[in-house]
Amino acid sequence: MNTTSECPQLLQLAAEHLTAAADHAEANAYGDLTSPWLSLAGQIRLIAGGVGPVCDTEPVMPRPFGVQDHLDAALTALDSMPSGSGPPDLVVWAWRVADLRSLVTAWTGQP
Amino acid sequence: MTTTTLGDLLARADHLCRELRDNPDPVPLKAWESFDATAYLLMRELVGPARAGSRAVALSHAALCRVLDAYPAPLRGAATGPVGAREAAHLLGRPRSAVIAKIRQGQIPATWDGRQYLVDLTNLPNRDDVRPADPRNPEPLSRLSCTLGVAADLIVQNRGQLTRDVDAWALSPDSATAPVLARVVGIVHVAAAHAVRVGPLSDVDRPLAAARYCAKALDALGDVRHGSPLLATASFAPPSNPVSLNERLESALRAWVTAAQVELNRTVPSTDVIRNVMNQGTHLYAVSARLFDAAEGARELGGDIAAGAREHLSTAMKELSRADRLWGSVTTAMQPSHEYIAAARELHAALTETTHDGLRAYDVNEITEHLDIGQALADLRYAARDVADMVRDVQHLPDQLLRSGVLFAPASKLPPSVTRLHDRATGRYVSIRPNEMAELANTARSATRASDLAVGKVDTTILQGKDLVVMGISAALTARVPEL
Repeated sequence: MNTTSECPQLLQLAAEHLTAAADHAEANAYGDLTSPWLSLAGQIRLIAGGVGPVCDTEPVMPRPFGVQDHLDAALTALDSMPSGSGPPDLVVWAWRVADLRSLVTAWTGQP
Repeated sequence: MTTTTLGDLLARADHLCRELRDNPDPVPLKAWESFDATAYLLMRELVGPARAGSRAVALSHAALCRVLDAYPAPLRGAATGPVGAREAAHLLGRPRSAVIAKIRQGQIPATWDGRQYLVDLTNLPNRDDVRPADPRNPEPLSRLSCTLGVAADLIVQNRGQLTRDVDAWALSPDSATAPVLARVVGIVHVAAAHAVRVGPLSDVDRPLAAARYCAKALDALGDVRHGSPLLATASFAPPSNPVSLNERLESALRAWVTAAQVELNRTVPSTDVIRNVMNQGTHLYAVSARLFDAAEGARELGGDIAAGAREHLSTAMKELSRADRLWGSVTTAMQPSHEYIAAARELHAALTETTHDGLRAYDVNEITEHLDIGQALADLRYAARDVADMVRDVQHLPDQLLRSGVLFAPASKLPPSVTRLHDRATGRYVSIRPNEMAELANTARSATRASDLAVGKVDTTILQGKDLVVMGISAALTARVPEL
């Protein structure tokens, strides 16, 4: 398997998962502009823009653990790129996703 | 609190002037000279260099330059930096033609900037013995010198912001400067009159000349009772190692505003940053509204003062949220910087911790337990104004980016056309035509209007709150006055 040539696809996949996670976070706010979920959605989208600035996704249906699941999937995609094969700041993006994932874990009380 | 404005500093100077009136101690010559040099430095920074350009601008500025030029032979203890030949002549007490002749003969080192000679003050004969006042000195005149010195530093360090504030008020720079200059001249007048009154007699020549100058300068400046946007320009020095929640909030707000301004000033900004500015703005307004609730609960704000502000904040949040969503439908394909992302994350954490424990919203008592609400609202007020400024800047971006052809969207989400058939089929992004995104520009303008209104209301509410506190103190003082 040529992992180097898969990197752009993996980055795109990670960005799509992050955008979906942001959509789930926004859906969790149920239109309440003061909800912490809404500001979290902004943070996730910002990181999605860093991982893949051009990313189009379809609207999501809110479901329990949607945010965590998509953050996990994004992290898995980023971590599956071999060291040195992706962009030089790949490890930083992965760290930022992991940081938000721990925040969501702390908020929802789910390990 | 580590935020101050030129207005705050001049208010402090006014207060120190009142203290001077009751101080019978003679003013030593050194203390006067230090004050004299600092006051002139502030006036010079306020007026700035002589201006070229249109005749009207040059004439308007010449009026302020004449006031400054009439200052009696300025002392130059603390002054540094380049000045023109006109000011160099004024400082040396020689005619301008004589100074230019000396420059041409090479006796005074100078550079030519294409319009005029610039002389570095360090190359002119200097009074090394005139030093800035010691900030530890408790004498009112020394404290006054330090206050004016800080004001001069604030002007130098925030010149860009001052220019933006003046532009936002649609005033000429000189109309904005004149009231502030008049206030500084008034302060110098009081200090000089005090120095003349308390002596010693051998040292009053210079203060006497300054007092006479100030009287003439105040008349020359005319009726300048209108306000000035310069007074509201803030200078920030957030704690470098924040510990408490208040400190972390202040530090995070300033770091985020700085990073956001840098990002928005990029030739082609990232739409993800623009979206995040809208998102953080919504969060910041939500926290401000919640703190108004808490302030009312803690009786720091009386009655229903904050109701109007909350309503405007709510409208602004809705508009920012709409703009956030619409900016999400387009992209410039630019990545946000790591610095911005780090600052945004810090701000998100600080704002969330201010009103929430995880997902649970704090009640009013819990907020007041772990936060100084007055300080937090003051910090949020400045940041809210910065958000409004950024939203105002962003409202022009759709047009600029569309005309430059650097705003993209999926072809499938744009009006179909023959040229886009292949792009639609392959799911590509294409450049948006200027007439295809009218809603984005309209929403950006609505967001600007709503955030401007909200910030204005927040300002009024916080200032009314301050007045209530001051009235409370006045009432307490009155109660202690014995009856006659």
